[in-house]
Amino acid sequence: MMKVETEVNVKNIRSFYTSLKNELEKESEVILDLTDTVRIDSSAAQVIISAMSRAAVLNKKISITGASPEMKALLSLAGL
Amino acid sequence: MGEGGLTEVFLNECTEIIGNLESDLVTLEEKNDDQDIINRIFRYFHTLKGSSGIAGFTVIYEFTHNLESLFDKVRSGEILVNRDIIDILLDSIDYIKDELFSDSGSPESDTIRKDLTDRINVFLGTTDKKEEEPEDFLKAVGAYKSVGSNERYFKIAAVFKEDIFNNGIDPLMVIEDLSGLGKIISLTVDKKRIPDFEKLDPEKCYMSWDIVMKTRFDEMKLRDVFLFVYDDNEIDIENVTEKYNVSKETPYIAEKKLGEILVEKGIINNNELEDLVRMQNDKNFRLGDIIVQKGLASPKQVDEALSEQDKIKKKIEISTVRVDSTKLDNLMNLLGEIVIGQASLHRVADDIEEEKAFRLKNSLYSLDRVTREFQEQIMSIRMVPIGPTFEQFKRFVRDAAHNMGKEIKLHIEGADTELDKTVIEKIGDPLKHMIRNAIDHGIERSDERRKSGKPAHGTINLKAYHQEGNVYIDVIDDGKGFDLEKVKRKAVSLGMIQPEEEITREKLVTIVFSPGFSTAEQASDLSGRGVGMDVVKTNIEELRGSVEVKTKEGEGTLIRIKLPLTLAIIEGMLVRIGRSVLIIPLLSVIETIQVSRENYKTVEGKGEVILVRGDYISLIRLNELFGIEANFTNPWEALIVIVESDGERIGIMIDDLIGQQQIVIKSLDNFITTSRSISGASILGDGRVALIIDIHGMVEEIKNR
Amino acid sequence: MNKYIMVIDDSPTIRVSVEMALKQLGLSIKQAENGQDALDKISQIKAEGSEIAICISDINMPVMNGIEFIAEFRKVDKFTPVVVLTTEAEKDIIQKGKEAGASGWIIKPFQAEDLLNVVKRFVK
Repeated sequence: MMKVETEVNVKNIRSFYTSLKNELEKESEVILDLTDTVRIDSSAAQVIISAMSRAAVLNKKISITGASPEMKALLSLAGL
Repeated sequence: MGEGGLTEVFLNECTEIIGNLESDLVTLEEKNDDQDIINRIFRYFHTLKGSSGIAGFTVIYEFTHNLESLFDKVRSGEILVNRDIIDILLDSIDYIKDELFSDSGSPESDTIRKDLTDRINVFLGTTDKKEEEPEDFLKAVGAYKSVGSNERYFKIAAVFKEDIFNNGIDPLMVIEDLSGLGKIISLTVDKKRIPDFEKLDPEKCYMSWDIVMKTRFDEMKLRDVFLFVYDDNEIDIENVTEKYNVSKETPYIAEKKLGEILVEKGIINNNELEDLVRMQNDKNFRLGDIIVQKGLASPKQVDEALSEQDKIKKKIEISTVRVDSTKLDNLMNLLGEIVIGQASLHRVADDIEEEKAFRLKNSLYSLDRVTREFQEQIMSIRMVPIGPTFEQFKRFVRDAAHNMGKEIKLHIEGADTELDKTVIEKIGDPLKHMIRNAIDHGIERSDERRKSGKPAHGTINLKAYHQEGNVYIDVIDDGKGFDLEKVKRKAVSLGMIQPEEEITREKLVTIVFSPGFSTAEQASDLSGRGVGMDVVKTNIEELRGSVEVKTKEGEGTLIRIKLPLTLAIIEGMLVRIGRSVLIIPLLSVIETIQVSRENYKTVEGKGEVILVRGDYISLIRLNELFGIEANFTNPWEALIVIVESDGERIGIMIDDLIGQQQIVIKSLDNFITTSRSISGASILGDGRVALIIDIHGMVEEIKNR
Repeated sequence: MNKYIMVIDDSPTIRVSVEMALKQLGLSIKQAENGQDALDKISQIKAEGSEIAICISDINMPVMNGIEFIAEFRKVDKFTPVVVLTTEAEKDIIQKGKEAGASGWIIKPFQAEDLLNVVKRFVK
């Protein structure tokens, strides 16, 4: 389980990227908890997309939980 | 802080700027090439303009805009600083002070401003050109009415540049704004450009989107969403409304994959599908199995999709058959006979005893329904798109425009609109003639167009669409419109109207369609040989259509052709005169009335007239026209059908009204009549032949007597 | 953490009107008279641990103009949106602005509502 910040965008994307990378290395399943998240941007979306492809190759799994309806709409626009 | 607050801030700012300006201008007069001072003064005027605009001081805004332009020329060295310039500028500042700070605003301030503006304009080399924005005439007459319903479909492809984040722009936000304009039909994020997770630079953008959406907004509105990214990124917006509407009717043109069917049904989304396909390639499983295994769809859903896929395959196998079109015509004729047979059975049912009649009628009604459907099917076979007819004009316009030394673009809309095959065959010539006219007389030469502030190239819009059971074809040009004065002079010289006759615009426009009328000063290669718009009109009336013209001098002309969906069947009103039954096309009928004795009279030169809703209209006796007998000879005893032809109302005297029904027309080509009053015949249920009246033709024939 | 809208224009009228137009976004608003003034105030804001949500900047200003400001600002802040205030006559400026890292623009004079709509494209 990885708690995601209120807002993930290009300004703090590096730290999100690094945390996700670490998490994916040590866990076989990463659950992104978006309970507190109100907004993500394209950079965050593409990190998640890219991580999911990587997880598939490693036979691991990344899933998303706790997304509000607004977040769900945004995620689907981002292809997630 | 309220609005008053902003004004106060603005006035304080002005006081400061004006003080600085006065001192800088005086210095400039001594040191007239000091670039620092010049730049500073320019900025003051610029700021003054911006602030007055924001604060709502429109007069000052416009005035300082001129000052800014003037000083821009000083800054660029185009105008040298001299006493005159300084005088104008200082006087202008005095005016601004007066306008902003004097208590009542002096009554002469308008005159002062006008004088100053004139003086400034001398230097700017412009004259006061405050042309009234002409009301967009073509828009006003509905020339740009959208085709069909208001729902439009757009395909949007957006590929963003890698460093877009460095402009503070988030593409996802742009897509979010876009999605707010309508309903997303399909959305695919292209993930191929996103690098492997390990190599990803998270501060660069690799996202791109393919979106199809449904919206009631136009392309401009969609484009506006991309305003700040349009130039530097690959944004492609395509209006696919027509494609989409067509593909909805015949959705299975090509073989479909199971995945696509599931996406269409909304069971899985495009991105999931992509992943599944990748998995399928890796592991060599069947897609259906993977979907069920992943829990994305139930086995039942997959089975349904598979059987749908089967059906589609079968559909494709029998897609088209070529048939001789005369076979279609024969089919239509036979159907006509069936309709007649049914009508006669209905009559039989009227005569037999009640219980049996009831059963017979019930059977007949269901037969009627099938026949109607049958008829619609045959008609749909006869329908062909107008596209190819339109396309052939592209070359024609290009060559014709070239010969005339004009630049003209042809714009086509509604190429998929379907018309009866016969109509398509006959509409080509009239259309060509109208386009010729637009090229010849409508659209001006480039130099002339530029002078009147239009784009150098003219545009002809060809547009077809369905509306209220009719087909419309619009020919719209943005040329100079009809010269109605000239039309009038010509009409007078041809003796069509009297010089002193008061004549409305509408009437003048219709004169153009009269036989032998052509306003071309000089006959050109193309048109103006005497074969004019009258031929166009006759051709279209033969197709039971009508022509309407809207024109505005200097702005353009719209010619709207209205055509029936099919020529084989009309809605007709059956009327009786003596023992004869006649059919009046329902399209022309306005109402049926009875007239009182006082409202009927005979007028010298106009014949018999009746008073209908305040207007006297001509009365026609069909019995005299066709040499048949009538029961009633007095108009106040008979019934009067009011019909319309070319915007003119006419009363037709009849004995009785029988009813209205769909009439299958039998052409009279090989028959007796040369009368223009008759357009065809139909066989009635009791075997009698009824003639179909051609209202336009009848009116013409009576006028020519 | 406070979020600021930075309004940069040498004209107090414009600054005040921008502030009035954007008040409803509920963010703090800071005014600066030119590019340099803005850079100074931005570094103060960041030192307090606050953040800049968006900058609204005029082009033609004394001391440091808008284009210079954007270029300098991008050295310390790569991703924050900057909307340029410009007039019809400065349309070629838009290109220079974009190259320096501007996000969007609005043509002066503008209606409060239009400015608000432009800003809403960048601040959600």
